[in-house]
Amino acid sequence: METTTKNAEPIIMCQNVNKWFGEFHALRDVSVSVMPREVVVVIGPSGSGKSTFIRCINRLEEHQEGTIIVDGMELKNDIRNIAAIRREIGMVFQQFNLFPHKTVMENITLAPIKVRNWSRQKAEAKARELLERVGIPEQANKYPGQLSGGQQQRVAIARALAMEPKIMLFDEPTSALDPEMIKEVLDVMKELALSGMTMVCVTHEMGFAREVADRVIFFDQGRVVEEGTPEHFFTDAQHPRTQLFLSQIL
Amino acid sequence: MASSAATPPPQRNNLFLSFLLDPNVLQAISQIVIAALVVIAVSQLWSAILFNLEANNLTPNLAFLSNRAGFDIGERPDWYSSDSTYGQAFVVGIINTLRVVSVGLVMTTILGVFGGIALLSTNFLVRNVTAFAVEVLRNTPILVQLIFWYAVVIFSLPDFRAPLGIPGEGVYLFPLRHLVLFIAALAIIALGMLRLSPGRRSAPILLALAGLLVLEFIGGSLGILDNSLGRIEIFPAAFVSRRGLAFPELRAMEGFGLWLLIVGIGVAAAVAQWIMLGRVTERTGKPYPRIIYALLAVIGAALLGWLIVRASGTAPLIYVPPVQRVNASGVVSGYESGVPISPEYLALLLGLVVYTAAFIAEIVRAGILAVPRGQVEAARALGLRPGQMFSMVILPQAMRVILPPLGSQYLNLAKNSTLAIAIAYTDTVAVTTTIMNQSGQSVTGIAMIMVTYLALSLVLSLLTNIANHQFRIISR
Amino acid sequence: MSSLSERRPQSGTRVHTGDGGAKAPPTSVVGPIAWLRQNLFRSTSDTLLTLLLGALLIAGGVSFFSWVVSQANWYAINFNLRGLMVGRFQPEFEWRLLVLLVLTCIAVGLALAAWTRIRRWFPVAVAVIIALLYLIPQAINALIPLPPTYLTAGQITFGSGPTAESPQDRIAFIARAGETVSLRMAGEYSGDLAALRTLHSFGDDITGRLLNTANLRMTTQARAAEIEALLAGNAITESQRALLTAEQGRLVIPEDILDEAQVNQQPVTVRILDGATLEPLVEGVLDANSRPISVVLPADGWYVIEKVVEAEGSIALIESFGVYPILERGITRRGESGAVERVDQFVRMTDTYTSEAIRPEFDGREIPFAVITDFQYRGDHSFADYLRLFVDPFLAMLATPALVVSLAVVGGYLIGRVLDRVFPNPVRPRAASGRVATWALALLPLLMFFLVYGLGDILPLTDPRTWGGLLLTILLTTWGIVLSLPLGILLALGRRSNAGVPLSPLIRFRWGAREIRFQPKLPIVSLLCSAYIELVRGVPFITVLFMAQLLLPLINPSLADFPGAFRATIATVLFSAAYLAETIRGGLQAIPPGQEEAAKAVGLNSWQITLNITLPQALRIVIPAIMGSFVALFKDTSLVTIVGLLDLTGMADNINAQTEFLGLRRETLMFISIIYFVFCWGMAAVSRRIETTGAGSALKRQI
Repeated sequence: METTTKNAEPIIMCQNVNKWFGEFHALRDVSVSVMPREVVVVIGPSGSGKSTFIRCINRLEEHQEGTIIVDGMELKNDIRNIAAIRREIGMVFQQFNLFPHKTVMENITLAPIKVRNWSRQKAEAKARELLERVGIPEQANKYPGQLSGGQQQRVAIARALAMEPKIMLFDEPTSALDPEMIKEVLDVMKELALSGMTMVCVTHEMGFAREVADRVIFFDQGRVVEEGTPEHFFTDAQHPRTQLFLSQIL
Repeated sequence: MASSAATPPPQRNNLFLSFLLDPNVLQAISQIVIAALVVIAVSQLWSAILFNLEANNLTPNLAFLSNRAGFDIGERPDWYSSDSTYGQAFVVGIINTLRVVSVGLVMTTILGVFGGIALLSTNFLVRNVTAFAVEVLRNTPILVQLIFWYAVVIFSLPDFRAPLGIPGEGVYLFPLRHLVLFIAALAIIALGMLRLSPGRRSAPILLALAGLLVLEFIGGSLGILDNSLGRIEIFPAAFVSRRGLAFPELRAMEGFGLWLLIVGIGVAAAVAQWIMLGRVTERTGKPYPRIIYALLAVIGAALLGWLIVRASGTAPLIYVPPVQRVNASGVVSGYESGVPISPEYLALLLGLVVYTAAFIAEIVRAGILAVPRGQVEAARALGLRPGQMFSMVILPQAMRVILPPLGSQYLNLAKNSTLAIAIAYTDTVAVTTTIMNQSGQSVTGIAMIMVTYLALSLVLSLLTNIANHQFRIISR
Repeated sequence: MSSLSERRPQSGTRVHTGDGGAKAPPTSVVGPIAWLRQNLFRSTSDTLLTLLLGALLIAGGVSFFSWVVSQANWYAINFNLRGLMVGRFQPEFEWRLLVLLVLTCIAVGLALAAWTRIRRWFPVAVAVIIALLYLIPQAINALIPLPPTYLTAGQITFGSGPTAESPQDRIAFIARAGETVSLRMAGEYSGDLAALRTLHSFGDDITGRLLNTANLRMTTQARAAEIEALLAGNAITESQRALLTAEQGRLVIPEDILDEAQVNQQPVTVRILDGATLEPLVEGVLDANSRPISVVLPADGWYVIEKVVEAEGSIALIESFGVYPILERGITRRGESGAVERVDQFVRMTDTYTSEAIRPEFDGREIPFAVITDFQYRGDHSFADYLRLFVDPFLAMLATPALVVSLAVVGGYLIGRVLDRVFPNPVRPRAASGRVATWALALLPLLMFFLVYGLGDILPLTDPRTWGGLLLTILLTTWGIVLSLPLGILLALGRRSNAGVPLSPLIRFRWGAREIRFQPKLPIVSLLCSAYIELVRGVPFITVLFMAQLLLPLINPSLADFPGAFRATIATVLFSAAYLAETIRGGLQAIPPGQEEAAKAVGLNSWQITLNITLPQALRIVIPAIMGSFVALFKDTSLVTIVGLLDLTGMADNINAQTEFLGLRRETLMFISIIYFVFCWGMAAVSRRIETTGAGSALKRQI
């Protein structure tokens, strides 16, 4: 895995991002940059703000202070920016969130047709290619309810990829899956990482983090506590909170 | 697409434009625009209405309410006459609405709960007959049903000169041995209920009953058993005719106090045995049929009291006015003095109660079915009897499911009571329609009706919300 | 773990031999006896309940069916079937309703092809039913003759004052060419009163009087005997004794009418005349022993029977065949010249033969009809008469429409099947028919509007005041549904929009260690929608109807002529939308927030999300509830009766207000109740089907 070149601009740049839910301070002065083609894994205990953080990147949550710049555009209250940024970012959810009233094919082609104004033929060709890539070409005309969890999550990845995003966000993509299905999803994610996609993953799969990640970020109580390469992170963590967390899950 | 990463699109720094394109600002603008459109439309309509009303000298106001009404109302309290004001007429309408709604709510709840239980009966006939009735009632309009009750059922009743007594008036002669038979049958059934816990065979009881009947028949026809006659005089508790229902006026007499005292002692005894036997059960674990003992105590005391009062020769318990077919004013009451109930009220009440009860029965059924089977099994495993299981486990949980839709059915009953106008019952809407036709104050009239029913709806939903809250707390 | 396996016996394992399989269950579990015990005779109280309810059911059923057969007068339905179905819809535009019906049935057929699996017996059953509809009237016609009509003649006056009546000398009737009219003296009824009482057939007024007097005499005699017996015994209260004594004093037993009126004791001279010329066709004298007089009629139209008893104080009871009751009705229609004209129509009740010929006159006065309505049917109907008079014409009227309807449905079904063959879709084999069926069903309300009301020059406008009956009920419901659904959706979306107008910029301040931040917003649209929904749901439908009725002319006086049907539609839409909005809001709330997030994440904007993701799912979830609202709407349209429209309920009311059908409320109410029930129950059945097999189940699979 080749690390990013020094002189390239970061594709995601967060500076002193703050976010409150009512009284609760969910993100505290978070500053993180992600380089193009970089794979960043975000870990941390539940409630630490890691999901909120990646949801802020495509503005599913609105941050209240600080700046987030994605692909050169600043995320602020301007519908042009929001729409443009969401077009460049794909996202995969813990609960898949496939549209149950549409077939797999319709799930994947909906956004390219409506948002990118592709023709149906072009969108369907792309969808078939993506289904091939995630390994379920034969399920195109089924409804999500007829698929297993692992298959559903792979469809969700295909759906996100159909918009040809520059960045993929993964919000605990394997947490709702049975153990034997986790692998099929992780395989797809690994393949994606190898192909050079910029990825930010919130996950509890430490094996995946070790094997694929360029950088691991540890969140606790809304703060970035520690970040570093996987080798450094898993073997030589500095902060006591990180050490405690690692000792509990490994 | 991929190439655009190197050259980010230039950020336009048009401050005004980016202010406009803020989603919050956009939403605010659209909200203001829509609100302005609505306000303009409503005010245009209102000014057009006002203009046309003023052209006819009918500016909406409330002053007309103190004008003389000049019409009589079919069902009215004593203080109202055609010399009263429009305002008073409106109040009479509200009173009539409340009379129907309040009584209707109680009766429909009782009927609906029985219907719901019947829908879940294990008896094939009971279940299916109820289901059929519920389907028919739910799938035909309430208006058609009201016309049916008023123009068919009430109209089929006998003429007011020959009203039907409930129960039928007359002297009933019967061989005294029938009384013995009746008591023996009751005893057998009671014994069966005491001895045989539910689920046991009922064949012995039925056999005993059948044997008793055969014995009676053979004995009676052969003259072996005593054939001396008993005589019971029955006066109707109410008379029913095409002119409605007539109840006698009841007045407590001197003996009533003494009787009440004896019944009170009976109730005290029932409570005492309830507590005492409860303690015994607690100590020994042996259950007693306390409810039967309690009922026996109360009924026994009532009978004993009646005998004592009669023996002391003071006076009857309750004064019932003598039967009289037509009273002085030509209106049937069936009694010299009493409470007449108009056929319109009767038809409206019956129609609303039966229609709403069909919906409530479905709600109750669904509520009881919504209680998970595991709850029933758990209750059974704890050794609760069916009655206890129903009242302590199933009902409280079902209530949470039942109450919200029940509340909306109550609202429906109140709102459907406005169909009174179709059968000439003088409720709020019917009275106000007359007022509107006479005074021309249609806008004010409609506003008055709407405010009345909004208030009624509000009170009813408040009550259901309180009930909801109660059950939420209890269930936690 | 290992210790467990060590302890497992290595030898001496027990092998279970013998047939340890299934045994037949004991008879206490299965079989009819067990079913009876489980469902009817479970316990003592259960048995008593079963017996009681069973007895009640049997008694109720018997009395109900005896009413249906022998007492009910179904002419009220047979004669007003058109009114009950379409009101006074202009006859010249009736073909448009037929086209609408056929198109609707084709759409239904398409829907059946697209979304259901037709069982094999289903078309067979429909064919059998239609064949029966054609065959049963034929069979009844062939097997059961029409009942005779009893006419009286003589110079005798019954009653006094305004109720005085005597037999008509002449009586007119309509008949068709080739029919036979025969007359004879009805000697079998003039023997004694008991025989007279058994008469049940058509009869003129004096026949009715004879019958009533005979009945009165016999019932009064019976009552007198009963009172005597009661007074002799001791089984009455003092109050009852006084009443009975008074009643005994009042009782007047009428004379024996057979003796008083000397029935059938003198010969009667009868002549049958042509209605137009009053030329006699046949003439004769009837007495108890003479043969019947009969004649074959030469042409359609009016005829007159002249019947005279020479001797005074005696009447004759004549049994006639071929003379039947007539209903007169005035209709307004556009004549050949284009001018509106009023025509008197005369309808023979037994077969709806209609004549517009001028009524015959004698001495400048119109000759009375044979019999006016079925009120002149004396006595209880026999079962044969019930079949011949009511069932036969009703089924005959039903047969052809039923055939057209089923052919159209079959046609639609076949079109659907062919479409699926022509445009095959390997994934969803019935996609083509599904798409066409959806469009057809969606276009129907629009077609309904154009066909019923009109469309510019192509279809001239009909008069909305003539719409009525089931047609108006369906129009109000359909337009109510079609227009209130979008309004309801808008209201639901509006109420859910939590966006608002910021009342101030973001306010931030410190409260001790905490920082407080808030921005008060006023959600105007949500508030407006909530206010509307709660207001409408809080008031009864009748007030909204009154409002549409009273306020529209006030907004603009020219709206006073705005047809009532459209006013009622506006009221229906405004009312129903509020309820639908709440239902749909429930569906929107049931959709997990992840759906919206996922849609946002792929870049859809908020309108795209609403139209493609949340709304379709919400609507699918609440289909049963929406269908419930539609059923309620269908029932609620009956309230337009109160504001004077003649929908199904109003039409029934209207029929009962006509003199001919006065007091026949049971019949009309029962008929319209059955129609309402069939429609409501059908809608509920469709909704249940969608819930279990259609869109609803597709969503359920997700969980």
